[in-house]
Amino acid sequence: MAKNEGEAVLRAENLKIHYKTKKSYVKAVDGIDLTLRKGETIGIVGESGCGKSTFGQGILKLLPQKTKYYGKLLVRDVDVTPLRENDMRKVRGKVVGMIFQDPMTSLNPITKVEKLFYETLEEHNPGISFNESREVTAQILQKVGIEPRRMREYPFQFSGGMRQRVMIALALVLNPDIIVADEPTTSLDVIVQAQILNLLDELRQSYNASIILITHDLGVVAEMADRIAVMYAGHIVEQNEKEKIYYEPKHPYTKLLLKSIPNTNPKDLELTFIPGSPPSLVNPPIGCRFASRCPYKMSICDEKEPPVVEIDGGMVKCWLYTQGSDNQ
Amino acid sequence: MSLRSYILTRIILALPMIFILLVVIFFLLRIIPGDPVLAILGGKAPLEVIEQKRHEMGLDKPIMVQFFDYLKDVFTGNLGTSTLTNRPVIEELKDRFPATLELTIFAFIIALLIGLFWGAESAWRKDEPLDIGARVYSVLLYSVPVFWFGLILQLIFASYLRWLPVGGRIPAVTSFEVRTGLYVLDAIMSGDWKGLLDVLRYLALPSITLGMVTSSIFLRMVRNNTVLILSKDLVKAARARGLKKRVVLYGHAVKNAFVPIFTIIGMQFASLLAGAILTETTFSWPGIGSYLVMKIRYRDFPAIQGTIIFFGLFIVVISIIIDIVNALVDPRVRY
Ligand SMILES: Nc1ncnc2c1ncn2[C@@H]1O[C@H](COP(=O)(O)OP(=O)(O)OP(=O)(O)O)[C@@H](O)[C@H]1O
Ligand SMILES: [Mg+2]
Repeated sequence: MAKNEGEAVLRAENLKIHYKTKKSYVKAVDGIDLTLRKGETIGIVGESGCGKSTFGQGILKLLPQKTKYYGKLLVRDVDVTPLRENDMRKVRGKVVGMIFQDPMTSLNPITKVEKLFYETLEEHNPGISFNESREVTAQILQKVGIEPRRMREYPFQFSGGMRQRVMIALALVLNPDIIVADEPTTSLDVIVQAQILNLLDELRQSYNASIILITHDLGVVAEMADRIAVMYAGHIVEQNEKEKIYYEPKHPYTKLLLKSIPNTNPKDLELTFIPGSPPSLVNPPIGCRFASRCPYKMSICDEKEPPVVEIDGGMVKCWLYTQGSDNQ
Repeated sequence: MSLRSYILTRIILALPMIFILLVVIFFLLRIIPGDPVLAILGGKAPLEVIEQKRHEMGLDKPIMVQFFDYLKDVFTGNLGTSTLTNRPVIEELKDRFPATLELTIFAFIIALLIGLFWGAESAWRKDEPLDIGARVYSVLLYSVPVFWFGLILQLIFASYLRWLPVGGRIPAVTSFEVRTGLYVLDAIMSGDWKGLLDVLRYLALPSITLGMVTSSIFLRMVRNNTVLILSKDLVKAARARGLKKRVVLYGHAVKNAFVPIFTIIGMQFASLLAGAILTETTFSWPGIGSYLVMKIRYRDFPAIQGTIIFFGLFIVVISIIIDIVNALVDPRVRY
């Protein structure tokens, strides 16, 4: 596996992220293993509420203060789970950059673009002058396809696609190793979507960065990702190279997810959807979390959590694939 | 629309408001019980003297004639002569305005500082003790009458502890040259630090009273709006770039939270002035508020009318200034 030879820039080991609510914990991410290598793009897919954004924002610990982190989350070999706010600030933007879904709400509309860049650069390079910052800003804006002179404008003067370009430039300006892009194109129209995805991919190459691409749009990951991790109710139920996921899905959930992609073929207009709904994340079932909706359900599925099985170069968390490996 | 034409429109729109104010106050004064002549001469004056005085003051003319005379005067910039002191109302207002301006400026600053910092920090630490304290504070101070709160402070800090003077603005003669009438400024300009300390000692209780009462509304507005903005992605995005809490909270969250606040700050200022009237009376602060109360007692029609118009204009000017500041903070207003 050529892909698996690059240096790991991010590694989650049995990572759990639990939100604290008044009476209980929401186990939004509940024990995931994932390795992101240099230059690689991993797509994280799954239906709404399965914990994708929680994982993405958990990497930078942007979640509410009382959120609990268990297991390990190595960002360039530093475990960030025990880090406090002040140490996390050095990781944010510098090691991991983040792009949000809606640039209309994620970019302060009333602060000049040049100032957004300046405060970011200044935070990580104290003493940088405003003019130096402008030069850096001009270069990066050029790269994302925005005329540098527009740095004197305010984000509210930009269109949605242009704002997302500013957001991307802002996430890249400190040259981070990892970019977390959480639904970066969901709020944009189709043509702009493609442009933004291309831009992200180009920039990944020229900066030799790695991307975690969070989306529920399988079309988007098909275009960009090298590997795909499928999440369901706080677990990664399957991960493998993109082609393997698309052509030889293993987990029943992955299979159903692929079937539910709307098809443009007029003969095949029938849309499959997955009946039922995901389990509670407060008191998840003791067995497999997908069991209640799974067409291949066996009796063990309700009784015991399935192990992660290595198969076909990837991993799957399902009892169907445990024959041979002795049930643990 | 450029800022200038915007301001011009604002002024033009304000004129009918001032006119309505003027009409209402003119007739209201003549409807409410109380006779200005009797108020001056007392009830025991002989009838001829009363009639004589009534004629002098022009009060024997038909009311519509009085009204149009009055309008004519106002539009030529003449607010009339006080029936109590025989001095031009304009002169009297000029004498007293700096005291009110000084009081309201300091009260406003106190209200803004408390509201801004406590509000922002409470929003950041939502539901923690600081935030709960802010809620209790703003409910208490919102529901307490200004004059009552003033009296309590007066009792504690002036009568009981004797740290601060009970009332008034400054001992009769100032040790510094009065140029602007804003004593704080005058004392600083003369380099008279002892004088400044004196001025501040007198200013402290009235401005803290008015400032704290006004801060309750500010505090709540800043806190609630900031909580709202803090839940937005722009805050998460700012944190995701590694920015410090100070920059995230004040540079991004509060800045955006202030946009809706600006639109109501103008009205807040009007209630600040209303509070100033009561505060001035409580602390015998020689400003326009206590002037108005005194003039109402003596049914000094020209003085009352003049003061009300003056208040109206003052509020218009302030709300225009607030609009300008708003345009500076929120570029969307400018473009
Ligand atoms: N602050 C929070 N407190 C408690 N629970 C939360 C909080 N934020 C999210 N959750 C819950 O955590 C779970 C995972 O949420 P998350 O936002 O990670 O889902 P997602 O996969 O990103 O979904 P989507 O595709 O809709 O963005 C959801 O059940 C959600 O309700
Ligand atoms: Mg999400």
